Amino acid sequence: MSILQAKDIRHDFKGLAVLFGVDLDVAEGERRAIIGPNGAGKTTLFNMITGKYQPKGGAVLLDGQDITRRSVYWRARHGLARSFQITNIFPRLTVFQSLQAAVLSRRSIRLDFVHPVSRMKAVNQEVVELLRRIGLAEQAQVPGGMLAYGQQRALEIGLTLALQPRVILLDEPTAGMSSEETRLVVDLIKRVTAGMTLIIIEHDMDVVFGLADRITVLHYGAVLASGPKEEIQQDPKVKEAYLGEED
Amino acid sequence: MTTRRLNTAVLTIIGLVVLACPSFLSTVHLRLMTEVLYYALFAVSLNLITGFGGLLSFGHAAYFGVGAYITALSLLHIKGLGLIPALLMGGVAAGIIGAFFSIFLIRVSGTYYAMLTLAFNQLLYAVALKWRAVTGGDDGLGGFPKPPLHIPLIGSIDMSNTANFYWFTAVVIGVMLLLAWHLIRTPLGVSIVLLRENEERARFLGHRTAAIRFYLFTIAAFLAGIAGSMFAMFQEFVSTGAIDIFKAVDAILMMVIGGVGHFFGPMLGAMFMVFIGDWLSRLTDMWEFYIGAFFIAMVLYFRGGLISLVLYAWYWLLRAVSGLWGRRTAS
Amino acid sequence: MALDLTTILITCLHGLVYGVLIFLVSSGLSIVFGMMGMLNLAHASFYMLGAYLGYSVLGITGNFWVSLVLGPLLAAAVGSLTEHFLLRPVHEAGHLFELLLTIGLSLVILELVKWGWGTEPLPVQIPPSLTGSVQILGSTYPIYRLFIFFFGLAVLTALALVLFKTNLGMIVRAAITNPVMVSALGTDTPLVFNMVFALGAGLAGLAGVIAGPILGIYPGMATVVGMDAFVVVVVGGLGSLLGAVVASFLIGELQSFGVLLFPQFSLILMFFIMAVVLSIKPQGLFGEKG
Repeated sequence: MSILQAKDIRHDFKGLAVLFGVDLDVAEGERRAIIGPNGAGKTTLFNMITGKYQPKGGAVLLDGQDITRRSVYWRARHGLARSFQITNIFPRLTVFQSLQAAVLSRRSIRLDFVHPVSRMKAVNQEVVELLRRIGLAEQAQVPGGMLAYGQQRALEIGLTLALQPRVILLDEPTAGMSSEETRLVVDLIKRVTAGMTLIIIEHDMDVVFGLADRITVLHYGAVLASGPKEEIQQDPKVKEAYLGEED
Repeated sequence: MTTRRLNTAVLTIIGLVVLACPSFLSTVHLRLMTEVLYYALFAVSLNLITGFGGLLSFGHAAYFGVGAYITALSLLHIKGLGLIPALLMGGVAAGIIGAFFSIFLIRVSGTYYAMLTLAFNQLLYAVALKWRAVTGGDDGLGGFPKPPLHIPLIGSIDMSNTANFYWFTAVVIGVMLLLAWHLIRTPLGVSIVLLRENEERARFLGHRTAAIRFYLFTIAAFLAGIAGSMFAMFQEFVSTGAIDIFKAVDAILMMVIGGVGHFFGPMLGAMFMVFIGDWLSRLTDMWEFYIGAFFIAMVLYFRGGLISLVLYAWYWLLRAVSGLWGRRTAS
Repeated sequence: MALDLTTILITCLHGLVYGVLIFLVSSGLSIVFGMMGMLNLAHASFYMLGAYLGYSVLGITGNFWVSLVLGPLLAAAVGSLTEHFLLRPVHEAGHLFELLLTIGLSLVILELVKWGWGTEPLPVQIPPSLTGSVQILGSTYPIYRLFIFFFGLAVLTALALVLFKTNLGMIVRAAITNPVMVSALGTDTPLVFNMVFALGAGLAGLAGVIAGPILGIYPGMATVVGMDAFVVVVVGGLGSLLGAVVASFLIGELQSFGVLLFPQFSLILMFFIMAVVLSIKPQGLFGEKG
């Protein structure tokens, strides 16, 4: 069953057109990779799906419901979580505090000004569990801004995970990483996103073929090809436009 | 020493200092200390918005002034109004104004937010200045009574006595500061800090930042209003000086000199401004220049404020002491 | 109050004169914001410094025209030093601390002025060569005010010419819209910033010198004019010179007619407009989004 759909998304930034009618249909539990050269519009598509921008044309549907006009926070509260290509964390909050903020939000505890956070056992236990799952238990008291790059990326994923989303969107999670770090992050993603619908933007083809079932190729703001990964691997158009340029 | 233990230590020290004052200070200095108390609340309430929420508010005197004027006016016009009701009227009125202004303040950030708070502050200042019939314009309002404090089953306590008023102030401000202290530790407190650290990410985590701001501005306005109320009752006089841009700047000075973003910072800043200001003003007419120059020096070199210097000295002391102790036990 | 055509026209004229003065003050404020992303809350202090320094130059030389040149230059020099030694170091700490520094600066300048020239208003007079009135529009109008208007207009024109017709102006305009790019192209951006900041201070100082005889020279002058300048840059749009021009004359006329028609409310009206614009369309008339 289709859990997330983008229909005919068109968008431009002050006249500079970036998306020319993009369709995306992701089934529940599917693991989809979106690939394409830089500037193809992948992150813009993510921004459309998660609500950062409103598309000039087209619609976004979650579980069949039109959410195109919904705000960013509404979508986050209804099962859509995303991580960022450029690390977007809370620099002066410790890893524990950052994850705690995410867990509180997930549990709809955002405006309570009566109960101290330190007494919320269930919340704090959940944070500890999260720390363990993303492998940052040792760094719990370290401020986000002082983490190593790979750890920051793990926190990025952790924040997204804390929302217990139904659809998790990861934007270039392995950006700027060495092959060792990439391996670790891919393992992490495999472990923590089991059972969720995963949509991932990636440049590293090994990561893509390792994680994804289906691949959508974006080229100059339009879908060049979309289908099971084996098909995409063989597709001559894709090879010429994109894979062929890979080293 | 953990942060929690350090915080408890600081709170205890503050508590002891406040309790000790009437026994050790002259009447003149006790009066200054009373000022320190309500200014501390004023500066702490601004710090909630600026230090914790990350938004520079230029118009915090609006709420302080509303609290002051409403308390003064209600004492003037409502015969037999009690002390606590007068206080609460000022605070609640300021909170209502804060809630109202926040409808507009919610939609802007950064410099635009700062300018809008300035516009609102000046708007209220202009009203206070021009509405002579009600506010007395720049002549101000005076002659309102200072009612005694009625405690059920105990009796009335005369508030014209400096020490009595000091204790009353200490209790009121103490309660308010504890409430603010507690707020920081609640989920709303966490949400407020998210605004400062990364508002966009907070939204992607499901936070409706407009709602967070509404609560933040209203609570901070209420607290500032209480401070203004105490100011009015203490000074027994209110004029446009309670609501003008200079009052707003005073709050900013105290907050920054003390340490923006740190809960105790503004309290230290208030103590500094009141006592050093008083001392300096006796020495020279140029005292505001020295405060301003000191402020600039803090902004340039000590952005953590006086509190960060104090904490640094404290940690250095701890390490020095434990080093000595270690050497003693080793030999 | 007789509201005949003559009064209206004269009030209009007053508005234009004040508009020119406010433009001289707010243009610098707007440009600096556009270029450095920072609102200089001490900007009106340069207006005040120009007036006071000009007054002293006048006292020493006895020549108004010399003070008209030296006053602004001195204000510009102070601006340049301030930007280099105080604002630049704070830049990396973020907008909050930049704003805070400018607050401190305005305080310190105010106190220095009070220390240097006292707290009483200075006895400024209209320069002898510009006293008197002319017959205009059925009434007499002070020559000095006309001088302010035309002189200000000339400065505005010169400014526009430099900005839009010279290479230097092109660099400055580029730096206002995209400072990073300009720096990448090899221009000494810090120097450009400093020069533009000094220019803004100088323009404000110039306004102070010429406004002195009609608006007075006293310690509170910065606050009064500063608030109007804020209203202007908000309405016109932060970073937009065109916005500053349009808004200056709008606010000038509003002040002028406000004082004539409803003196009790003109102050409230100013801030009300500022609040409304910021709430509904923060970019003002011509400003950039966000």
